[in-house]
Amino acid sequence: MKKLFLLTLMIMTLLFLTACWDRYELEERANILGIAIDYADESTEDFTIPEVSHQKDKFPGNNKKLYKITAQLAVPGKIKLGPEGDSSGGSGETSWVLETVGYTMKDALLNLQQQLAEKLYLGHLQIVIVNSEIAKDGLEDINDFLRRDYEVRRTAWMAITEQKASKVLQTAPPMQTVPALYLSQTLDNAMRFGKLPKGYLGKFWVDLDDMGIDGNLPLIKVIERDRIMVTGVAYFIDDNMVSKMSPIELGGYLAMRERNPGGYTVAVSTDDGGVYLVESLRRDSKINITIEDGKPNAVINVEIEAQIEEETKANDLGLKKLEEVELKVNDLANQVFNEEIKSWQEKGADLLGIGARVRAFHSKYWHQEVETEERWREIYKEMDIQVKVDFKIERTGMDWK
Amino acid sequence: MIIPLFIVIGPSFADAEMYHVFPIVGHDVSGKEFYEGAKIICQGITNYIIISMIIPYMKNAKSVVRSSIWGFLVASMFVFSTVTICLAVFGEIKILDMYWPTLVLARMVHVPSELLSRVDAIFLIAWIFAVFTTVLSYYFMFVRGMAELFKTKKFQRISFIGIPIAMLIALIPQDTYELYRYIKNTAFIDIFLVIVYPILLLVIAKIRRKKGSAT
Repeated sequence: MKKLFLLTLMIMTLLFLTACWDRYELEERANILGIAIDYADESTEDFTIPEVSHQKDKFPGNNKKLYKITAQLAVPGKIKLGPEGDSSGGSGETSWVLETVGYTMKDALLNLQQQLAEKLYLGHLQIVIVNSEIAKDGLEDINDFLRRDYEVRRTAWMAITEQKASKVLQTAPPMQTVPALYLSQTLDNAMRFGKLPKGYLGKFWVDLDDMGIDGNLPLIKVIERDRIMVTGVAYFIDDNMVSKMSPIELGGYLAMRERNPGGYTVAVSTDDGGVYLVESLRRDSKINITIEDGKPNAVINVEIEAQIEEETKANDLGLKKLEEVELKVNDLANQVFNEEIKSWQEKGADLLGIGARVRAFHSKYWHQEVETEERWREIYKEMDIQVKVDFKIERTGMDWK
Repeated sequence: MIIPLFIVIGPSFADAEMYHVFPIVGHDVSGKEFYEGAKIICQGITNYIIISMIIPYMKNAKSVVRSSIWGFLVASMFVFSTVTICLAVFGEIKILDMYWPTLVLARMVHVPSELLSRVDAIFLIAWIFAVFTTVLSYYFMFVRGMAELFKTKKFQRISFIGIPIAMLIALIPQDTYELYRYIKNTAFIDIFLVIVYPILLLVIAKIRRKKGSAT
């Protein structure tokens, strides 16, 4: 009798052990793959501000600039795995683009949720595209939400665009069925070829908060509605975007930060008119900082292993010629790199993390003279930074001459 | 727990920056700050008290001492390397903004060749197992201790009564900040267990002239 009672009790306790209490079927979830953030243009677009998290015109805080958020949702069951014969549908069917406005990120997402039956899920978020206007005013408010939310991956990308971010998100590439996936793949691959710094969210936030180093984000642009061009990177001081670099400058930046593999190619010409395209393969950079008379000096030694990819207007490549090309490319790189550093110094953006290195390796000096990031910027603007580039051309391809 | 930790630590070396770790002694660290940190980490290694509670019941009590010291060293090395790699990736300023840096690290990690796009799920599962076994071993300590205190052998009854009490204690902190306040405030108990108590035992043993012979 006692055993029977115990047995029933045990079976009954099983009822409390039901798992998956927060289960959501895939179809019931609205997987957001990409978010685009713009300022809402109140004069041209017409919309009503939904009263979800606040009463009408009663959102707390002074900043009354409205964000327009465009979210791209994956339509479950429509995304095909692997290639599919009929691609005439384009990406219009596999994804669903929704727009809403809000005073903050969460406010806008709440408004979005109000329109949807499915639960919004940010775990598959691949890319956040931000309009450069917002980036110039500061990203802190957007970052806070993305950091705080436990669903958002830190390997997602954030990209800046000077066009309408919503337009970029809706590019319809024929290669991938979902635009947001295509976008993030573009950036991932660019990083793998050594064309972009490791700039996904987690890394960007670390640079942003560190003392003596400033962050950067890729800058993208749509061409003809179906392609994405990486037009360089936007760089930041604190969390405000200050300026941008062109891809060739970016190559210099990557070389100085020792990001491998190398991927950028430069064109140089020798005295007899031959034009050579030299691709960097491996970059090696040493940042030496010395303190002299209470002033920091930095010498950056960059060594680049390179190969010649193309030779035009001439056909006499040999040992002597190679040395000449090396010299020419060194001159060019020295000039470009030094100019680049100068322009960053003028803006006060310490992209190479020289401040962080001073803080780490000369902490005594840092604590006596610098201490705050503002003070460091002043010192940084006036400090002497020299770049020495040394190209080593190791390969010339399959042609002897 | 060790394998997921390896998965997290290994690939994150690529994101580590030397300037996050230097200077090794830190920026103007005072003895008090150092003590504050050491106090917290003591809580992670109080498990050996549990081992010492079951040593008397083992067959080869002597060989246990050596292996438990090894286990202790390995565990401390893991704690040390995890903290170091977190620091190297995030830097000391950023790391202060986070509740759980290792979890964030797990969310940041790219496993090579895209085998897994989210490591943190595996990490969390392993973590939950680790937490439950730890909690359970502490509970064992509680039951065992209570039984010895009241000189009974009714372990079942003690563990039955103990569960609701533990549950109620777990419900006291209302939010995460408060939880961390409790952790800080109870840290002195661990200091007592890790440092004061063994020394006390050693002193008593010296006074009573007992050599470490197996009972």
